[in-house]
Amino acid sequence: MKISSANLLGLGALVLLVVMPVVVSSWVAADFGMYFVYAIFAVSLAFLWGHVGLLSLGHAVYFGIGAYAMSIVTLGMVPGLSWLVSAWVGLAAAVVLAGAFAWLVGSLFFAGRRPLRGAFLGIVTLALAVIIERLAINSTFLGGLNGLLGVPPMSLGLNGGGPEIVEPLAVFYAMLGLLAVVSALVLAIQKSRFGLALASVRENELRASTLGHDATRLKVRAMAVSGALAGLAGALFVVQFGFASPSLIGFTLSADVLIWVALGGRGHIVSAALGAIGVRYLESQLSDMIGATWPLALGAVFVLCVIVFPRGVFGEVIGWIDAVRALREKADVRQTAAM
Amino acid sequence: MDQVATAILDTSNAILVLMLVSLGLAIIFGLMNVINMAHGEFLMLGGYAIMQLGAFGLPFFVALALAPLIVAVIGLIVEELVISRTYHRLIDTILATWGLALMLRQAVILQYGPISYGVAPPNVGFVQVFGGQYPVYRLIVMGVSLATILATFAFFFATRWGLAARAVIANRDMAACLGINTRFLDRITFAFGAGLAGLAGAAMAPIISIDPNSGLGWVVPAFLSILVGGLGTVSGPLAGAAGVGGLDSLTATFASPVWAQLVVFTAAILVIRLFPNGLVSRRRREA
Amino acid sequence: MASDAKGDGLKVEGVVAGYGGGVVIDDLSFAVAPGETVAILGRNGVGKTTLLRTIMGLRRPKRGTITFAGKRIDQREPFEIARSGIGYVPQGREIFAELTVEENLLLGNLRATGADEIYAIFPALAEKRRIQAGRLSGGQQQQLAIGRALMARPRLLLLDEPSEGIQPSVVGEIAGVLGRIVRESAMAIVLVEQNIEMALGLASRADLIDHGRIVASESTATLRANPHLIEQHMAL
Repeated sequence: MKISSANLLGLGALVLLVVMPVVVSSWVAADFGMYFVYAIFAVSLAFLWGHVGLLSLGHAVYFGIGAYAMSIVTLGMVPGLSWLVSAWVGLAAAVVLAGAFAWLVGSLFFAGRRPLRGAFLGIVTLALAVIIERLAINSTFLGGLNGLLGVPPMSLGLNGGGPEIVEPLAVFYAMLGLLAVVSALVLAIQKSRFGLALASVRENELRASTLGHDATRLKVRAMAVSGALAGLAGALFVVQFGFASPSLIGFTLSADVLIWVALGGRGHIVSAALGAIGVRYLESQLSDMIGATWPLALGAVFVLCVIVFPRGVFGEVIGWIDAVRALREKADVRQTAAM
Repeated sequence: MDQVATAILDTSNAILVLMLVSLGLAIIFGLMNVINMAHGEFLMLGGYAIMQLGAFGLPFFVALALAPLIVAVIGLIVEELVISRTYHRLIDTILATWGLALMLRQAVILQYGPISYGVAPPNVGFVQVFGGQYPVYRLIVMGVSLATILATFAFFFATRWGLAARAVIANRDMAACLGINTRFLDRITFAFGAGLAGLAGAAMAPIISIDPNSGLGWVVPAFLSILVGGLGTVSGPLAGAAGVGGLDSLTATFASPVWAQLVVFTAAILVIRLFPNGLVSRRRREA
Repeated sequence: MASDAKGDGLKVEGVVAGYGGGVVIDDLSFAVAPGETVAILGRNGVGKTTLLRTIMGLRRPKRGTITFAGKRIDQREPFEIARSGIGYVPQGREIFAELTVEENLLLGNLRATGADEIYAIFPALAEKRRIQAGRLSGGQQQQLAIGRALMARPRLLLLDEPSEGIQPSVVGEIAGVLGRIVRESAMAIVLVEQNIEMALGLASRADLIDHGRIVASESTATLRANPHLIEQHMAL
């Protein structure tokens, strides 16, 4: 079977990342553990935006829900169940709650004959993120503006205890593995009949529904999948970062993930993930060098990219690989014909 | 009694300023099919402009008149460099202006630091209203906003350029086929919309604080106003702003400022969901 | 055909145009001299409307050149093409339904002081000048769309199916008006029509288009004498 250019790029990047800790220091590796989590978050948005065509400008909501769910469980804050501190339950709660909330939001926005779409959908999701951020800030249970502090690292015991994933290299490989698994899962979903139906909804909702697809239900499910993955990313974030705060829900992180995905390329899971990793890495390198000019430079590069490379930087790279391979194939065919 | 009067005046003030902001946003969207996520930043720039002009020693009201012009010129430059290169790509206009917003905020931080500034209101005193004291400056803000809104209406409905603008809103391609210079109109529209936001920011500078993020709180309410009111008309966004701004200000006064934004945003989302065309507009515009 | 030595008139040479990757107009060439009225005939979907939209600048040609009055217009914006002296009456009329009749006319020429000339040509519009254009009958809307294009005194008028969906009597009136203007002002017309009778009545030459190319060009006299020539190209 012929492998697609996007997957080729993804596998290449994966190999490079697997061997990377051999050449870099362990604290650089530790930083990358965080970047991989951002990449999972970016994958969740790329699936919804690139594959299903639904622009979510407030995607941090689901990330934040996952982060808070994980924190609440592992800090033993679940009302009436204070003995429960299992990171596994925390992960499950993060995925399920974020997915369920996304499902609810999807049902509200997409039901009926005139669903929200395009730019309108984007603005309303942004407003929703502002609302949820506001709620978190004003919730004493969630720690208000300060958030929830002292979230423990990921522990492998059934209910806390057991070995913890804190070693930089352990974190690095655990998160890289999860990123690879999540990416493969989303790629499989996109190739499945469900995924193909979603793509047909993106291309032409009316035609998709005349072919017998229930567009509303498909979009709601896609929202749930995307939300659940974003929630997973939030949970994985908070076990590394150590605390959950309202800033994980609102405007700023929503803007960040949008930029990663658009810069990397929303058309492919791989390009979106590489966008997140690339931007975060450059940020850590450049903010030391150019300090406060970094966000200005990032904004400028982003604007330029929207104008010149609407497919995103890595989306463009995938396009080039495609073109080169097509040329080679043509040459091969000619050669065979000559023989 | 006098508390109610103050609340009514404050609410009118909030509504009129939000109308200015929403009007600029709606005109840019209606004429150019551009979603300007940097609109709040133009408001923020208006605040910095009046502060800087004041620091140069200009009298307050001269600065108030110049600040929107400065923001309009910035808008003109932005239109030429960024916006004109993303036409016909609606979602890309969101992304490009989103990045632009980031740049503008950061540029301001680099120049003025992340701190917040205040601008002293002009010394115009207080006036007796229904037995209470009310700052005259707030009445001036209302007057300037109202006059600007009326002037915008007059431009749209009593001039040939306004007629051309309405034709572009209704059917951009056909208007161009009649020889209407859409390129020129786009430049003017974006500069004018930015100027309206700049005016709102400058006028509100003595009332709110000026900081790099002071635009963020405006852009979402302004968008919701447009969606609630509906597109395709000039009056739709104004009605939407009246609803959004009014509900926000009243909830803040009589319940709690904490819940005001929650109540308003939730209500707005429900209205948008139930009336996707908006409350005023007749036609649906695909976005 | 009148000489193009002075470079005036419209000249379309080797134009390729379409939507997305598809080609609707394929290497099409034709010319219209000043004062000439040319009918473009062809079945549905052979590219007649695309041709007019391409001339107007609403579609960029992928290849080929379009010149008008000696100047290249194929890379210009629609408003520049309109200002170079080309009037456009699109299919479906595309009047501004929410604006008044008078406002619609003034949009044809923003510098005009009034629209009396058009009211003289189409008296039905004069009575309705303050009425929203969307409330006019189909025939009046068509008159409005033509009047709007005439406001700028174009040297070339592009008409896309002006007889579509309107009464025969109004079709006759419109044809009469256009014929008179051509005789008086040397305005040229490119007329895309399904209504053969109107097309042959107004035009001096008819170009038959198929698969995105001009496949035959005949004088209307020849076509009227040999109707089978038309049927050959248009299975109506």
